Amino acid sequence: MRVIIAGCGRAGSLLAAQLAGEGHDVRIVDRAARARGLLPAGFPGRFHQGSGFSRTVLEAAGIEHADAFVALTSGDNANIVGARTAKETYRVPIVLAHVDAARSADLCRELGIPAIASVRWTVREIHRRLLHRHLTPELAFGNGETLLIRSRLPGYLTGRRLAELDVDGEIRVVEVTRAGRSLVPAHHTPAEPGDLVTFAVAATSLGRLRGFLDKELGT
Amino acid sequence: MKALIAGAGRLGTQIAQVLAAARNEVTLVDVDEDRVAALAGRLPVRLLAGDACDPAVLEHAGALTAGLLVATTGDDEDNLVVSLLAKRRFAVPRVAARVNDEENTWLFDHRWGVDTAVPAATPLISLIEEATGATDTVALLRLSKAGVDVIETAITPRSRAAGRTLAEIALPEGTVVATVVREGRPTVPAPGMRLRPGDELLVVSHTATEGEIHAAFQ
Repeated sequence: MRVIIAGCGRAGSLLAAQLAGEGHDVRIVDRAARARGLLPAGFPGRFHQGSGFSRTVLEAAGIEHADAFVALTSGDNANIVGARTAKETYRVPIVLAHVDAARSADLCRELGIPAIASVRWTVREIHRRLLHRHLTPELAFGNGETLLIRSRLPGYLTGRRLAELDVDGEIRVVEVTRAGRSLVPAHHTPAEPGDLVTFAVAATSLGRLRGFLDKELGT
Repeated sequence: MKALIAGAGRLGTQIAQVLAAARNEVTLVDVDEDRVAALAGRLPVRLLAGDACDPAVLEHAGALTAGLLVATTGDDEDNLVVSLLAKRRFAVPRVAARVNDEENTWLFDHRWGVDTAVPAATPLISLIEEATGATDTVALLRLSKAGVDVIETAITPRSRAAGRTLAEIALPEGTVVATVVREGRPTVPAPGMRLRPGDELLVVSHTATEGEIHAAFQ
């Protein structure tokens, strides 16, 4: 696919090199001509000097026929303006923006621009690893607001209905692996010894989930 | 009226001065704390250090009750985001934004919350410089929606006001000399300031016509 990347910094140049290596048609844009130096020798894609929301530059980079646009400059606002232009003016099918500040992520959500919010993501990840290091997510959704976690059920829960572990808006049991077979538990399914349970959990409720799972250790 | 200006560069401080002189309640926000500190006490406006792209800063600056916001930073993307926030989050009735790079002019419209685009080529000071050729009074910029006219007049050796102090000049009702540009630099005019040929004045008035201003100075 044809991908236009705005911003040839550490992330932009790495993504560009990776995609180009996979055979994609990569066009990378940066305000500074010397940013080109971050690209690997023999980079097969094209480099365009200029702003990531300049019509002239974007059109020279072929935005009218691009499949994706990624805004990866060091400025949140430049990324927001570039991504919105790609999405609304040029109707690029896939648009992604990287932003640092949480407020920029909020603005992206308002504008319908999928954003990778690095500060928010980093803080959540570090917080989780500091305080909930035993709960390793199988999957993280969005910027880590919702996680999928698998855990062996502690013995004290044997015989209780799995649905009792649900906390409205915070924790939900989505799957149980029992004796090597997976099932989606019904409302009345009781927990059995050795159950491996998958929970969908809000990142803010990890403490609560750990409370359930660790209870046995504390008593 | 409450006016909020984002960016305390040359254009931002000039607009702040003009609007304050026309008795508006002006807040000037700039992300550079040193610049804000340097302006303290030199402008009759409320100064605030902070990033105007942050809705919390805009709210603190009074965006909820502002009648006008002018985004004057040196980065077009920042001016666009400030304008968008002003319009979408705070419903500021009038939003003006400076276009730094002419190529970006097409972006400065309602999609980004901009009511008036201010091209870089025509900020206040450039207009004054352009107008220097004409010795006559030139109606520079009409902030008509604010109910205020800004009129520029240049002092020549033949002007009646040359050699007089500002206090000696009888101005029409509701008229203020906002700034005197001397040797290319805007200054805050004190009543004792003596006008010299070559001075350029920005006069702000609610009521006076160009002819009346002309009569007072020329």
